[in-house]
Amino acid sequence: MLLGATLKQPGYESRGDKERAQGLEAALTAWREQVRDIPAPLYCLAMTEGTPEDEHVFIRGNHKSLGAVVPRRNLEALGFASAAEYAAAGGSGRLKLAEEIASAENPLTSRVIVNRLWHHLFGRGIVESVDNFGVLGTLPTHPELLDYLAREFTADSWSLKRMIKRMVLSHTYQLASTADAKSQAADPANQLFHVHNLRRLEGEALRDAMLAVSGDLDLTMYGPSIPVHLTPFMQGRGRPGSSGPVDGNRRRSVYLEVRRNFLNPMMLAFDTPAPFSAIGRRNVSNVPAQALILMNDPFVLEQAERWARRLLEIEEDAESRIGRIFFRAIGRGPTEEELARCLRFVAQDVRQIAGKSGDELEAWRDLAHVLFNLKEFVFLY
Amino acid sequence: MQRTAYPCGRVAAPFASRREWLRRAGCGFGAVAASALLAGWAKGESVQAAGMDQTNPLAPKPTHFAPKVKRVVYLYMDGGPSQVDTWDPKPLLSKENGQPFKMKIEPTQFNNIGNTLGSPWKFQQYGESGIPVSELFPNIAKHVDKLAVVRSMASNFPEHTNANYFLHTGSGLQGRPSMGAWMGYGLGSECEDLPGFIVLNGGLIPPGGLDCFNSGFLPATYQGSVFNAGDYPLANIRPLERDPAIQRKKLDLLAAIDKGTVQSRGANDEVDAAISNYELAFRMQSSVPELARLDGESEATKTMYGLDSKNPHTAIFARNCLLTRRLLERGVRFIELTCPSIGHDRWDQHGNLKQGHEDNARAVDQPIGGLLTDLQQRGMLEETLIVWSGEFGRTPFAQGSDGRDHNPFGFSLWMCGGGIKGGTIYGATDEYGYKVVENRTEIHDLHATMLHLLGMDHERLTFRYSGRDMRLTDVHGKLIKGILS
Repeated sequence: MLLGATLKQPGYESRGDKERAQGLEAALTAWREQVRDIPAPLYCLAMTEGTPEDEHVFIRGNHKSLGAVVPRRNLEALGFASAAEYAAAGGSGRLKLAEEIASAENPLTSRVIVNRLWHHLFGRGIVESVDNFGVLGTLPTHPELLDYLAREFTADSWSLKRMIKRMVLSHTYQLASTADAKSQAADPANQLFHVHNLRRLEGEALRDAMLAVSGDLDLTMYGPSIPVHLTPFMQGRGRPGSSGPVDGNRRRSVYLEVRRNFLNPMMLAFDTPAPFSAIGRRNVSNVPAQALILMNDPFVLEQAERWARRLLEIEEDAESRIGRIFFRAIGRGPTEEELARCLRFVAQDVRQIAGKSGDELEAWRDLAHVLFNLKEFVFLY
Repeated sequence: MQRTAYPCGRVAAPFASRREWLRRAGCGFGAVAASALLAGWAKGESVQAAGMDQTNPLAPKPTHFAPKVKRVVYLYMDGGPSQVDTWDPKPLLSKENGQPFKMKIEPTQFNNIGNTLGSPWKFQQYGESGIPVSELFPNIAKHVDKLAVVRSMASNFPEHTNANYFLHTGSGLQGRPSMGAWMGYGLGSECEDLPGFIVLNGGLIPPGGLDCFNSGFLPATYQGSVFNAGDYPLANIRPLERDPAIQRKKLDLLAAIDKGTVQSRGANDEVDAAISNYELAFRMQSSVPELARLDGESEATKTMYGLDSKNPHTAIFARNCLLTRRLLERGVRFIELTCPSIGHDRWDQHGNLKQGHEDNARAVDQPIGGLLTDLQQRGMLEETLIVWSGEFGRTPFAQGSDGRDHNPFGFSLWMCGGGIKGGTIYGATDEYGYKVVENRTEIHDLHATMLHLLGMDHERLTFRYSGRDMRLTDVHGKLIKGILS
């Protein structure tokens, strides 16, 4: 920079060799080009060996009530290496600990993670207490299945993606949630997964579903997260100076910024966990605040409007358009009665009230908004 | 070494531990609580059949024993009011004003230790009880015979954020359920069309943010709802349709299609609850703004609270105190008020103590006095618990020349209402007001006492999370019996 500025100084050439100055300038330009071509560094977290220490036992968990110093190691009761083996391995023991945890010989880790995946997809884990495989936890309903999946998982390079694929391609996953009376009587609590459990969409999935249905969803991967949209109800110390977009730039919810003290209200209402601790099983609450969001949140109405705009670009009669939006939102066509009601809604109800100012777009936007509020949209049947 | 295939391998064995015995002897502590509940029910205690409603998480639930109060108002004095300038007079400070402080000084937040600082305010005894109150609170002082002043509270944290979490959730770390959420979880709601836990935002959300009011691992149902000033105090309460009739048409269409779904797919409790939530949400759209409209209140009432005060901060807090009474009337379980932003700082006077505390006190004194008078006149005080506190106190020695630093070692708060022995002073700090020397109480004790007054045993109000029966009081908490009537 200094060199560039010096070269630009008036009279520099007269003070020195003109050719030399030109040479310097050419070298500088070449250097600048080279620098520009160096890719920006990609940072990643890494672990390094620290200063190993042995800790006291905390009597009854109290860090002020110290028992004996215990050599560091994994849990011997579960069959892991002894303190002597850890000492022999040298260093802090962190590497050995990591290897023991992530070993195919250790069924605990793989069972826990495949059970979480199962819970996520089926609404209930094979071990229902997903965060507790200990004596206070619940028993697996299908122990052989759990072990089978755990073994497949480690044999398949611990690939979460392929394990998810395996599960969703299963017959069990593809069952509907409506049961016949006989199997219902035989397994009323659905311990055997004879039907699918009815599930409410999680906050992120619900938002993504609205974006997908409206045609707005941007499936771009990676990149910085989208700043959180701030409402007047999100106050407090450290509030960002500016708000993010209402539609989160149409990106999937996984790309929305999670700002610890300014969490997305829609996600909070739909039980997306607060980011303070690991949560294997989310709460599934059912509260008026959820209805208020789906009724009155600007994001929801905006998506309904964008969907309506796209619908109106296709020339078709009202009947087929209603069929289209039903299929797109809930994967089935309307019944005759539903069709009649929807036709009346777009042709008469909205326009009668809104008068002359009520237009085509408003009517279809309002119908689209109703679709987002259907229980068949919010729940997976 | 052989690995046990499943922990359940041991379950069929004889009781391996005390814990196991408890678990198997009727499904654990939860069942112990449930059987105690049922026993209470049989004896005709305050258990209502409605409490057995399994589908609605907000339905009123049975208490552990007869409650003294139904509802709680938390007057949160954000920032840490100074005990020696409010409820705990220390003449020795004035006597030694300007001299080096004579006790051993613990590290403070800023470690800018000044000399002993006498209170700039005079104290006077009030009422039959003769409890001394600083001249900062001439209006609250009139109610002193109803108050139990605890002078021996201690916190575990000397810094705002952790102390706020600790006061609100019983844990200094972020992410635990707020006391209001616990109370909603334990008691359910008496109010059909308002949330059970409401935070009236005076302008200052405390350090630590909205997580002081969240539901943590409890279901989202119980999280605090922040009410802002204005005609539409709650988020998403305002319909976006140009005409309310359009929204009604939408909801009618929605209800018709949902009904068809239930008919063709079969009934389901969750779906039924979600459907009925829409009618409740619809009603909230009118009940919440109606609540915030104060035209029905008499001018005398408004004046008593200070709504017409020339001081805008007093007027803001007055409005929230009046809203508090209206929320109590509607059965809201837990109401917390945060302080108005007086323009410089919350009750956190690291410097300029005199002006800061005076401005903060002026904003809240008349409105709180008005609230106490109003509740008493309407016969509501006996079924309400009111708590006034900060997250910690302040040092009796100066920070710099004219401020006070944070002091978690001893501070004052007061409680008033049903079950509280009015005109009580409980506990004491040393002669400088620095540390507790008598009847030490902790935040966990405050929580245990609040739950007790609501009819709940803090050791039995549990939620299974992460393999443990979690409590608001964790493994701590004892009743502050000396303030109970």
